[in-house]
Amino acid sequence: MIEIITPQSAELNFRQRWASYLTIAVAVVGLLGGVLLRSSIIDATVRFENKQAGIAVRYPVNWLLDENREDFVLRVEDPAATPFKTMLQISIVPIGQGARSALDILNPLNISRATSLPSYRTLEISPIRLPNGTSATQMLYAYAASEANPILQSIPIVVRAIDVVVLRSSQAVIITYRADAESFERNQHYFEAFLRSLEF
Amino acid sequence: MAGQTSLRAVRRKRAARWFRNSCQANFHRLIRRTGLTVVLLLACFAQPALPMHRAEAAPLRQATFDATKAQRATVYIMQTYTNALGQAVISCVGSGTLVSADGLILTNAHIAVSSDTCRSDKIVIGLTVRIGEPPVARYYAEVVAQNVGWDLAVLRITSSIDGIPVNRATLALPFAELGDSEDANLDDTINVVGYVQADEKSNGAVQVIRATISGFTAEARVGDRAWIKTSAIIPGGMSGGGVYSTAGTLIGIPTVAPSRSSGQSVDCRRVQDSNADGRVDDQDTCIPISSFVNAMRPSRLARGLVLAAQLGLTPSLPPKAQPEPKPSSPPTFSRLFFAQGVNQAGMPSSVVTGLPSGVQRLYLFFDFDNMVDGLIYELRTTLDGIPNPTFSLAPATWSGGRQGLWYIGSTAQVWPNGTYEFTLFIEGARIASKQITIGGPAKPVPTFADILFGILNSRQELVSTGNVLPVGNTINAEFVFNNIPPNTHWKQEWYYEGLKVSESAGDWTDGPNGKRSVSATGSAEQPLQPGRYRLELRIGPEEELAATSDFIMAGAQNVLKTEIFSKLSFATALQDNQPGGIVGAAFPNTLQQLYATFDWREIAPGTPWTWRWTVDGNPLFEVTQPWTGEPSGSTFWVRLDSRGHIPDGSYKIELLVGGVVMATATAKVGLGQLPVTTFGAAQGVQLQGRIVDAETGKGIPGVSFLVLKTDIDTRDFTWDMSQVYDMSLTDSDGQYSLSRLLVRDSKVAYSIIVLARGYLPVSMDGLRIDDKTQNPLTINVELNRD
Repeated sequence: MIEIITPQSAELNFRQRWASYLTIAVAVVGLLGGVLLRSSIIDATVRFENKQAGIAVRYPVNWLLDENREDFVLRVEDPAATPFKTMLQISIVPIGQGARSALDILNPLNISRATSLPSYRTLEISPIRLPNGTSATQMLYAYAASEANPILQSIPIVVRAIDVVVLRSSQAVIITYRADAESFERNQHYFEAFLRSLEF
Repeated sequence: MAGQTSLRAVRRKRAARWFRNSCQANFHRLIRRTGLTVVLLLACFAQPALPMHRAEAAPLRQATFDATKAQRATVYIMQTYTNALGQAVISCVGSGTLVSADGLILTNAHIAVSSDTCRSDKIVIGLTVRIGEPPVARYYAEVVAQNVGWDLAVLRITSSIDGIPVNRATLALPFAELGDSEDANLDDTINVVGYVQADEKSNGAVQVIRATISGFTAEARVGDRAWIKTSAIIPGGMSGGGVYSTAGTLIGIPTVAPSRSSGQSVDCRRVQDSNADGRVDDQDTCIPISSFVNAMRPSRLARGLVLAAQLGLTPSLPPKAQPEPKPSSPPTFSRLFFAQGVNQAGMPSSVVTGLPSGVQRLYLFFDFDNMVDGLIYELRTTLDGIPNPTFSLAPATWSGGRQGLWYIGSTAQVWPNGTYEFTLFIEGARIASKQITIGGPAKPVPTFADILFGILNSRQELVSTGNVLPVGNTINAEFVFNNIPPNTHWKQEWYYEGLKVSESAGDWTDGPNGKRSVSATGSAEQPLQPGRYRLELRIGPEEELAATSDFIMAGAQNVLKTEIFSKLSFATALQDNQPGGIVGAAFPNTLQQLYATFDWREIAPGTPWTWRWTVDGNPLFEVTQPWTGEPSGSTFWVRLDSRGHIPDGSYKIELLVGGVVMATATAKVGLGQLPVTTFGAAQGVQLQGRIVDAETGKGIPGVSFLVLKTDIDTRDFTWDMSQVYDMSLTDSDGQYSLSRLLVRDSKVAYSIIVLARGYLPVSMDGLRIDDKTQNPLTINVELNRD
């Protein structure tokens, strides 16, 4: 004898419906929380302040900080980046009263870099406005980075870089971003956040 | 059953992997979330999953020869010039040794200095990147110190091969420490390091050859240990490289000049179409090849050159009014004779014609004339007709000047019995030869010896003896005689500038042994002139040469001494040929030049004189040259020039004639003592290794290998560069090498962090370096994917 079982109604009752809604909501909240947590981890920054130079800025956490050398106030590098260590740097150079534009800074900078960076090429020089409204000049350039240790054999890496030059009274502030050409645009948000946080 | 066991094993592996991965993930999450910088994976893994392998400490002492370190410190030197088409042409090659971390290289002068046979406008330096592989061109260098006579030069690295100037302060190259060559003894084991010529059997990689010291060769103006000899066969390409003691310090430089004939290299290779005519033929540049090396210049001779290069100092003298004309006659060696001893002035004690068994010292003396510095000369010795390399001198660069008396000898070893023939060559051409027989018992033979010149005091005693006399009309000398039978015929001959001016002969009446005086006097019409004199004493019916000595007449007698130089003092400048600027003996350390000025009198042109600079007792420069100024005058100068500022130190100038110091003075610059760092040595352990992907085993490029300072461990690290001792990035093969050496101190510990995007980081605390730690220390790391 065959017993025929009539299927129950497909319509969910109130409790089941709300359980589904809650599950979806928890999942969405969890997902959002994860995304926020991830972005908070990835975008976590550390504040750097140099009162003598009159500069404060935030840089990515877990980047290697080097400060107060002769040729820069601050340099941070991503030690985990391969093959080239993505770098953010702020340097301050004194300028004479005769300096009228950022070009007076960029020209000697170009010459000295051409003698110290292999295959150095200036790509573009253009005026920009910083997030805080300050006028600045931006220079895009590229060079081939090679290992300084003569015992190691490395393929030269094409590095793209940006220098942003801001004139202030008797000084020029040069903010530099360097990354290997392949990850240059992918990592540029670090530079933009760096610029946004810059106070001087 | 087998399947179940296998499945169980797979499950167990999966569980272990899950545990490990979750553990790694947890820690990795921990890093990201909390910002912790370090994960001690050793503590995390139950199984030894931390893919770090530390090299076991080998039971090696620090003071031993380290072949790898020596090979890394050895460089390949190529002299190049640019031809008409702008192509680089290699004209000469050889080896060299890095002697400082900032890029000073010690090598042979004939390898580095541009010459007729080694034309060059650039010097290219190749390094050994991988042991066992040919060198790789990395840098350009320039000559900063040289002594052509000793065939030594010091180069300084100036720029990378792509023309970028190097920052010497950050070079941190592997280098060898200069040792004390005076500690070397006969039969000591040595290691010779250098590059061999690439051929069918060799790929041109740096080689280490173990050998023993077979003797020491004496040479005029340098002394008894002018050369260290070895019986090993060392390829000529290793000339300029390094000779290391068993303690691992650099004690010599393998040296052999390429053989030449009439100015052209005897052996050479043509490899490039240097004149760009489409073929490689006789018209193209030929790279000289040295024959086998069996002689090394001791490191003692190089110490001053290296120190001068480290301090950035060079010497200079007033320019010559007119260059010395080239000799019109061919160079000659003549009047060959043998002696068993040499005095301070480089003169023979007595002349011998045969010697008994057991002789340990023998010198071949000869006159030279029409010689030009830079010529290649050579001594080949045979014993009973068989070539004997131990007592020979391989082709060497001449630096003795145009005319005078020279010697080559061998000491500190017994000369085997037999008949020796010594043959001298100039530029590959045989010039003169002389034979001597050694063997049999010692026999008393009539001897004249130890000629000394001096000034007679009021008691008619000879004082201020030596080989320098003040200008006067009488020359007084004394000599020792032994075993002279009565009535033996003897003769004295006096020479001035190579010409016989007086002689007298007679029969001996002064007894068999003792000391006797002789003298010579100028006439009223022809008084004695300043210049170079010679006394020869002859004996027997054949009037054989028994003793001879050269001496110099110069200056004037002051009380009972010879005064040639006076008013020796220091100044910072010359104004109207007079000392100016700061004058005295104490100076600030902001000087770029330091003059030593002096007056002189009665020096004949061509008289050899020597100027010697030392700093804090360390030799800097010593040059012997013919006098080219007026016979008398004031304010002659020698000068120290600095690239920057003359460093703190006590600088001493000595003026010598005939091997005797005639004047000396000391100037104190700054604190009067060299900075301590000047003599910094390479102490510590080189850390190197390879970082690979744990799955593929392939090297990972661009990985950061950080070593933290000893007072920081991985938990304290705050990603501040000031906490990092040194950092290296891996190359395209995953190789890394720290530039700074790790200090040997068992009381401190280093921490290591290795990280690369896409991989789990690895860290370690407690790396201790002690006296037994192997150098270089290799740490290989496997990284797991994130």
